Amino acid sequence: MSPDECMRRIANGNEDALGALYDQFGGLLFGLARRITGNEREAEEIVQDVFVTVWRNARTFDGTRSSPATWLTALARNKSIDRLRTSRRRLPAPPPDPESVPEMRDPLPDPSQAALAGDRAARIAACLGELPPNQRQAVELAFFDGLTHPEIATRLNETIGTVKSRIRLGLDRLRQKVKGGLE
Amino acid sequence: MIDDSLREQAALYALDALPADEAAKFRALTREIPELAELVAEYEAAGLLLAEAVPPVAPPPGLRSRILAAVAAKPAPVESPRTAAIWVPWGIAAALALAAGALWYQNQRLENERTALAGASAELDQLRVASASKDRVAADLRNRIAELEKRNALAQTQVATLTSKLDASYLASIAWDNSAQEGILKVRRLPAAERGKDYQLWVIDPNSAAPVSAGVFTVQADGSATIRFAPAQKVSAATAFAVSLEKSGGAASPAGPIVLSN
Repeated sequence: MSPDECMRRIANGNEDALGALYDQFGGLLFGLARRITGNEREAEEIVQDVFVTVWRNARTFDGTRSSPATWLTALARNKSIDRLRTSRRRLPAPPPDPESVPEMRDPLPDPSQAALAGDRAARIAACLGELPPNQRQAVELAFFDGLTHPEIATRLNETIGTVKSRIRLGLDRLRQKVKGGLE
Repeated sequence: MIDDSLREQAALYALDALPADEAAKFRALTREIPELAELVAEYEAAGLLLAEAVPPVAPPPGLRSRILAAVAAKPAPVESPRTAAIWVPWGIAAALALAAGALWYQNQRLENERTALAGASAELDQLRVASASKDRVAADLRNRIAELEKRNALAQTQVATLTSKLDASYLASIAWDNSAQEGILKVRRLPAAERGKDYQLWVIDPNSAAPVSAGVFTVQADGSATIRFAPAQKVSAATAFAVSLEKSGGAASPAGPIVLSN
């Protein structure tokens, strides 16, 4: 079932379609939330929150404005950054328990989906690899660490103007790549 | 025309990297300049490439079923039944008939409504200005609250360094938040506890008759450990911390040698 079809069925209250959407994007969203929060438990809560949000708001989803993948990813990223910023205002995030044993995992989705995703991921990795390191670093600090541009400037010991410029140039390059179909 | 400065702000806004007050001002601009909103959307899509580059990780077992159970408890607001659409043309026809009947009356009212509309438009402009102003004030307040929360969290965090009289290389640091009644212990270069023994952390509270246990811990092969702890009972003030070597599982009060203290 395509993501668009999943969204249409979810809008009509079809729980199986939500499960199908989870099978396609659960791993991506969990990986992203874990990358941002650095915490598996929080990542799990975020992924659940994303899919409950999708369930509640599928009717308002406009497929002409963005793809389901874009919507889901943006939801996961925004919820992760919100948590990160909230926890940053409190104590440092709890450290990983050195004695914890990794749990057995749900299997990743079917190999054909993974192969398609893998091809796109390879092209995206190539695009990111073309970014000058200082532009990529500035963009990543904003995207994954949820830092504002003055915070990035402090972190990198650079001027605010330099940081602004690097982020704009970096995103401009990526934007051109998206427009060109990632070629 | 979108100049470089606006493009920079659009890129930062798309990554949510503008401070709250600047974001509120920029958001108001995107409402006035459609090209700017379009540019933000393009930057947002570009930024999301980073998310797609993160390798997928298989979620924990059971998450899928928990999500489905959660949504089963909250039925989605589904689309209205299609049968309703059948009645729409009849409804339109009826409305048109009524509208024709009311045409003469509406013509009489039209002039009055134009006058009222001009007034409403002016009022709307004023509301827009007031709304933008409130956005700015709200953003300022959010910034100040965030700053105060940050200062408050830092002010409440007590930091202590623990050293050892047994071996100068043993080292530990503690960050303790008394209001949250929790802390983080980081240990370096501490040898593994001998068989049948555990390291135990104690919080010294002058209002408690005995040191308060904050739990036992073990160190990794390199002698390090990072432990988040919460004492066994409420601590009114933590004036000191200590680590002792106790029987396996810990003791109700310290009985073994003190390994680290401040």
